[in-house]
Amino acid sequence: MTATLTDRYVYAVARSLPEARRDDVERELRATIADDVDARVDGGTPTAEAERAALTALGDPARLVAGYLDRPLHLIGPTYYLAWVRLLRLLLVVVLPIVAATSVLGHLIGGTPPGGIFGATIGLLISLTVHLAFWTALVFWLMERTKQSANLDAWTVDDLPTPPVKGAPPFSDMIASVAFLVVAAAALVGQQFWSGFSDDEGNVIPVLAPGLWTWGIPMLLAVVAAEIGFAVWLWKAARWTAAHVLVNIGLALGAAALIVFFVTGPGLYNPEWFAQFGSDDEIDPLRIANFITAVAAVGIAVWDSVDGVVKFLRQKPGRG
Amino acid sequence: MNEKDAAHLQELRRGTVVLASLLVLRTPGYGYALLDQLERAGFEVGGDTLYPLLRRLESQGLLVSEWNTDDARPRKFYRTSDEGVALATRLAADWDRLTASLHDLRGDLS
Repeated sequence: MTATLTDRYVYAVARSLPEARRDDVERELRATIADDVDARVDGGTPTAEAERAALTALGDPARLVAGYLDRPLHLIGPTYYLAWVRLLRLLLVVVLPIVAATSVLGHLIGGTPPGGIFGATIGLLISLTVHLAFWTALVFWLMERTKQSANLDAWTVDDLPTPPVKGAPPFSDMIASVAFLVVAAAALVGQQFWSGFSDDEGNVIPVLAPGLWTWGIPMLLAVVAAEIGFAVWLWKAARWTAAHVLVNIGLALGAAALIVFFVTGPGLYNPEWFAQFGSDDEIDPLRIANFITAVAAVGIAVWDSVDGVVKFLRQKPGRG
Repeated sequence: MNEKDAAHLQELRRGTVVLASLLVLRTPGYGYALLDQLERAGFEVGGDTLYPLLRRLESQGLLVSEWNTDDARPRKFYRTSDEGVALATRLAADWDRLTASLHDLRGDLS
């Protein structure tokens, strides 16, 4: 028995509905279509044509489904679409070249033949692109879904956004911060898998001390996550406040303290990785790296803290 | 009627279908009969709008439904609930108020 047009129409609607409502809608739809067909036949239309006309009048099943579901039929709506595209494009432009260069360099040092380097790098870039697109889309999708209910909440004038004041943190700063932090997080994890060196058994020699994985690297990743949160928070507030300045200082000094602690205490870098550069009695690359890292960590923290204070003070006069 | 007119008319009529359905279904009825009745009464509404609307009103408690299997063709009958009748009364009152206001606004135009 071949499926009638009605069967096909009802199927087209029912398959897109939640299981629980499917049967009921299907039964009602069948009765409705049959009623319409009967009415047309009574009016003098031949049966076959009547069915076609009734279904045509009912229209595209997709529209009917959209009506029944009564929820957005898109992942990311107009509110967030442009922001998502902008962020994704920026991430790709920033992250892909860095990863490509790192991968090529790593393989060159590791002595991989050119063909292998090309293949591995392309493969890495493709999977990275897919990951970036997927995870950012997921975040925006969540924002899209949560927005629905948020919008229904009572709106008060307090919800109004503050117009950017002179010297307020621009959107591009936030995006640049987030992009940089994502790269940093990727580097923290990635150094375990692509360090440019492997031992005699082919195992990768990570750049950072393997012992850090127990809590050191999670801590650093937490700091990165907190910094991302701070960048978004700052951008949403559209101005530096005393709270932003304090949190900024706290985060910067916390990160620096963490790094200095690792460098001076349990060790941040993997001595084995540095041993690959050859040993020299006069110059110990690990000691130099430790020193530079500690100085840089403290320097950046101080600069970042002062930067926050300066930006906070500078924007004040702009606001009448 | 040009496209712009059609868009404005559609805008103006949005919501009237809800009120009309709530009023008609004070006597229990099923989807197709309601569509037919509304069309004959001059409400231009398609099944793709009306059938999902009935379910939405039902989920809001403004309509109640029941399957009637007495006929050879089982049909889902909808009836306006007490809450639905109360809403219809308020909507209709507002409609009358709008009609009066519109009448005043039109003044010598009519």
